Amino acid sequence: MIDRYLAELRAGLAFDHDLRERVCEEVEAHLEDALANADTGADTERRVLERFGKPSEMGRLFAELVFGQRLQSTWQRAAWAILAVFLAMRIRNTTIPAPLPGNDHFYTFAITMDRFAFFIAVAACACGWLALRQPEMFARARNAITPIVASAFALAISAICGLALTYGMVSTSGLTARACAVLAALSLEFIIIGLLTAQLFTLNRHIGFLDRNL
Amino acid sequence: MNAEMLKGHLDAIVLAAVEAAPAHGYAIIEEIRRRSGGTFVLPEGTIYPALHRLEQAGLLQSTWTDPAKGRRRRVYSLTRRGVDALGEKKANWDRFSGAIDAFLTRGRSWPA
Repeated sequence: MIDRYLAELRAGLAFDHDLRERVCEEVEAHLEDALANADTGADTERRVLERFGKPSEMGRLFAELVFGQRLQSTWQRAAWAILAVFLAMRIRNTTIPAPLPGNDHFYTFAITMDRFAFFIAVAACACGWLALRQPEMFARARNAITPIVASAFALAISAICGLALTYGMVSTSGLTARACAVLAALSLEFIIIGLLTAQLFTLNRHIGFLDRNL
Repeated sequence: MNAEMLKGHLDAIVLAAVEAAPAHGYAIIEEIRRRSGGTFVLPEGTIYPALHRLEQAGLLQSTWTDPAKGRRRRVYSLTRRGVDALGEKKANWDRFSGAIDAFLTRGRSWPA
């Protein structure tokens, strides 16, 4: 009976591997203690499990708790990504000579795309922030995730334009100290956008899990 | 007392239960039961999401302990922030319960 209970609990906590392992180990120890201290009788296991509560209810409480933390973490990463892209853009704008010799059209296109993509990212993130003002957490998340994905996509376009501009700069004037600064900022930009994308995938999987199980 | 009534006070109850000494989940439930004289009855499983939430908030910390015999246990203890938060919750409760008590007592003694 306890094995079946733990299997149900594991299924209910499938959205987070580390949390599932930790909680199941704690619950197993808890049930062992409860059994050891319970009055022996025909229905000891059933009574202990009744007192512990339904595994689905425990799974739901954890799912809501972790979901709230993930939602908050996604917003923090989105804010950091916008800041990183903004700083990288500023470094590019002050470092890369304009226009690059023989590359006027390429430069104009890349720098325009870079700026527009950034503005779109900020606007999409603001829409997501407005969606977050709804009282119900899951409704908030469902409405907020699309603008954040759009924001991350626009930030990625901005970063790709930055990569193209940086490549143009390095191929023209070589790997100077200024080019290294631009490359460092660009690397930071890609890393933070990558972290945001990973977080969005996790959040999306969690929403899918909640849709199937709650 | 049912679980719904306890929900709003669960954090304070859990923090108070580990105030004296670090404890694992089952010991915390037993401590709550003992100190409330069996009045506080809540599904035991609800303690774990509460412990996790309080740990994430930095009010509790936890470590695995390996006893000489038997299964290892995750033991929770108050952090410095947890001690401060518990003190604040106790002060709030004193004010609140004092006000409710005065209000209800005056209500009963009001001449008809």
